[in-house]
Amino acid sequence: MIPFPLSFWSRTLPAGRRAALCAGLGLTLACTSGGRSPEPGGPTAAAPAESVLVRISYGSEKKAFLTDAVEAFHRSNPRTKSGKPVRVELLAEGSAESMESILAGRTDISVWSPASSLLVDVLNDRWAETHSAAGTAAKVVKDAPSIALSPVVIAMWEPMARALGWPAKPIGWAEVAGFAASGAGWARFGHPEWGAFKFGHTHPRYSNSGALALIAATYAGAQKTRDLQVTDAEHAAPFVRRVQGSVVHYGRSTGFFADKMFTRGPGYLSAAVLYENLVAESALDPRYANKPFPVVAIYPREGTFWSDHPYAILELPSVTPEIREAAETFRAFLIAPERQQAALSRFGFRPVDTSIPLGPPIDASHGLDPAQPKNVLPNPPVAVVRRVLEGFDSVKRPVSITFVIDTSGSMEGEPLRQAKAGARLFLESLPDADTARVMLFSNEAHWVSERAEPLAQSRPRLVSAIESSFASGGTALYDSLLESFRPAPGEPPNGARAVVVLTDGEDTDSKVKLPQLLAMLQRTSAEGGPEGEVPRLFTIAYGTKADAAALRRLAEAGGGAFFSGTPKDIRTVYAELATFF
Amino acid sequence: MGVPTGLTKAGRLLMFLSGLALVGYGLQRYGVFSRLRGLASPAAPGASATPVRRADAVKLTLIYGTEKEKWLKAAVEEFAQKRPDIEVELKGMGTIDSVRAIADGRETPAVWSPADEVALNLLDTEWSLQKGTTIVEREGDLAPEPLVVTPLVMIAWEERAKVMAAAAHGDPTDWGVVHTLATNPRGWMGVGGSPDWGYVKPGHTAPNASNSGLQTVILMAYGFHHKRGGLQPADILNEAFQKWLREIETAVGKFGSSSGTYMREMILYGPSKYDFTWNYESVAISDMAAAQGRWGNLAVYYPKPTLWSNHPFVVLKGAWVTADQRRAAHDLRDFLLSPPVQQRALGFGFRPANPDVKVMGSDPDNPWNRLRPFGVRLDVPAVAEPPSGEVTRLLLETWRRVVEPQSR
Repeated sequence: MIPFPLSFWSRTLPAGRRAALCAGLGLTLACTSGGRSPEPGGPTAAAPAESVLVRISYGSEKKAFLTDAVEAFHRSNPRTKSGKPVRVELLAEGSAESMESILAGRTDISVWSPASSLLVDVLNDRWAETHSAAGTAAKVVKDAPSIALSPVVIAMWEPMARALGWPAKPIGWAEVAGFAASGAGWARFGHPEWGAFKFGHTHPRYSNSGALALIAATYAGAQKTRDLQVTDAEHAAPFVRRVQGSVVHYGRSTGFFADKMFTRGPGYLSAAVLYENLVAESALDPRYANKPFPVVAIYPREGTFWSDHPYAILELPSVTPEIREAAETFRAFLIAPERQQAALSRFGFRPVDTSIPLGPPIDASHGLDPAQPKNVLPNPPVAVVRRVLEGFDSVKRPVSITFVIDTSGSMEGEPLRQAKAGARLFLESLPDADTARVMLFSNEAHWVSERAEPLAQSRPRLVSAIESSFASGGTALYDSLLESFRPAPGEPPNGARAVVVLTDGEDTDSKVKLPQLLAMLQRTSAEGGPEGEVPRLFTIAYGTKADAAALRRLAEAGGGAFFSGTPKDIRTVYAELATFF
Repeated sequence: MGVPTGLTKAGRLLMFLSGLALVGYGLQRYGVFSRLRGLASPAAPGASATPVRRADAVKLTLIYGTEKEKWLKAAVEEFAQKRPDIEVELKGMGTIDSVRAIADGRETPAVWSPADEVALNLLDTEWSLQKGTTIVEREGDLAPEPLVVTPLVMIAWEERAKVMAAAAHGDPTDWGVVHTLATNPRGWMGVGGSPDWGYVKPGHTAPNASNSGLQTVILMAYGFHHKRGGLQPADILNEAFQKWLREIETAVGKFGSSSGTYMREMILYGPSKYDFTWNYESVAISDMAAAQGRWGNLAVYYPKPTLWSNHPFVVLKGAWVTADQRRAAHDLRDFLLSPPVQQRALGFGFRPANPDVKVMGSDPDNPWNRLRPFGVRLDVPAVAEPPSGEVTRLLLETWRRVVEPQSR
């Protein structure tokens, strides 16, 4: 079994509860990776007989580049020296969770290509802790050359960047922290109509860009650009908390933030920590042609990191000389000039081949600056990285979650049983300092607890109330949602608010109708206002009879995310949902 | 040329047959028949255009410093066409790594061409400590002979070099200035640079892996002691020097293991990671075109003093080296030193070792003409004395002890 990724970073969840969470979720790779299956570009079924298969776990931010490369590679009919066909299979996984799975003894991949070499050092460090004594190789990654480069940037809508003084004025983490400190949102910069500054980055314990954002903010808070020490994390904490103060929610995937920011516009996110290539993608990808403004890259003036996309052939017994040879052949294909030119011009990466001059889209007309970054931060020692990530719960923005669960008659039996189990594990995975309240609804809404209380105190009571609920009655979904949006007594003053709703059917009993509810959500979202007034809405369509279309629209209007699940995988959905907080 | 008119029909036939025989000998001599045979048979997977050797070809393993790889590979391919009776197996390896590999007996090449002769002293010192003899052939016709030469230079991003030059009152390569910059607690801002440049980030390869890194720390030792020669063990053991060395090296973000790769990294990451580095002039020349305009221009400076890398062609005296191999090595060396092959070294940024081949001509594409605006120049100001094997060994041990534990 592969441990739940939260356990890797030694989060503050008590060990017993952590173990229960892992065991309860029965987490396997499919679970932690959201049930991903191999992607186009080389499923095993299509591979010729006797082919040598190279399975690559990679960070999703280079999905387009790698998928395209694999297709081109297969078209070239690659073979080993002994004449066997070579096939490559891609698996998009969060960098941290794939690292954890390697440490747990996974043998189904031969190449690991996370977004940054930061995690390669951590992997080797942790690998040595458990493997050196056994007489096996102390390093599981010996050599990890880059296949593409991209700096970590703060992506921002151009009018907003200009309001901050871009491009003439260097901008950085201090400006992000300044928003939370003032509490005045964009009004400070002459644009009260833009409402609050809405910031996003991925969850540092799941995703490389989130980890790098947290470390970069720690450097800035410690007023250092090198020699970051374990003790600096504590000194920098007040500053990092201010940076986190504008975060609307976290998440697993950098690509998710990019996609949602570019499709939903500035009402959803003012800025997000992304890779430069994703900013380029906002201009290159036709899916984003209708975005309201261009997006530009801000290279934090305090320094940033390079995402250097290492390509690590793992030192595992399962990686045979034949697989290694095939993996090296694919790497040679990736770094060949033609492919590197494509990485630049079609996917917005900086090539690793010095013979390819930088050109479009790494230019001002695409919101990028080829002369940046001016300064990068060194990867801190592994002990510092681990300390910063372990301390995330103490600096993250507190969240107040309203958990709305459908207990209508159609939920009876296995659906409700699984939904309850998942809900319990979800509540157990949230940090103790976050607050939560629970509403059960059928014909009408019933508060289990209307007051928002820190989970450290309220968790047992909420779990008990959920477990003792039973199914009956109709589905007053919209009325219940409207009720759930009301501010909760006891919510932390600077916290983010979120509503999570799970339902298995269509609304049958509400007085308020969907268009009204959508209009209300869209209006509040567009008007902005101080963050905290508008909760982010996360919807789960449970089973095949749920009104997925309505729930998707509600999540979009409510600035959250939509999920679909069944009694079989609802616990996986909750695990995914937990990464947002 | 026309056929002589005075010849009889029989004479012309004889001449034709003699010509055929000569052509046949030539084709056989240069392996054309065997190549044609190779073409006629199905190619093995992964087969290249490497000429098919004669079965009795003398095998010659040549371990070489990777800095000259492009030039050497091209030259050896050409040699293979001319001399199918000699099969040269090339094996690229970091110079310091190759010293260790030969000294430990893991590699037994007949010929070795490290980046610099300083490695010869190092290998002989290592070898004699173990075996009581030396291993480098230093006498007679097979004594070490330089193939190409190149000085160690400082390569800096121009905008940052200007600030350095202002801080150094003219000479940005001054080691005292380098130390002051590298240790300034306010980084570039403290010496008149832009606040968003961060700390001053020098760079060089690891001296225990790569010759350019070794040369850099040798020059640091000379710089600290204000010497150009006569570096003594006591100089290396000097505590103040060791502290000073550690302080500079702490500012290095990453020590590379290969000079060529390090230069490419400097171009790819720009001044975000490397403000200035020490590397070979040849590497700078070879890669400068790729750098210019990417992050602003690169500029080349010559430290005073500097060190040459002379890429000696060395025949080893090991018991594994046969008389045939020694003869083959002799022929290969003469080929590599021949004017056309030496001329081609210019294109890779090397200065020819053969004095008959001029470094600089009137050709505007000649690197020393083309790159003059960026500091590349023909005259090299002053050269330090290569230290003894004993001192070099001690310096490497010192670096390992005071720097490597915190190395990146």
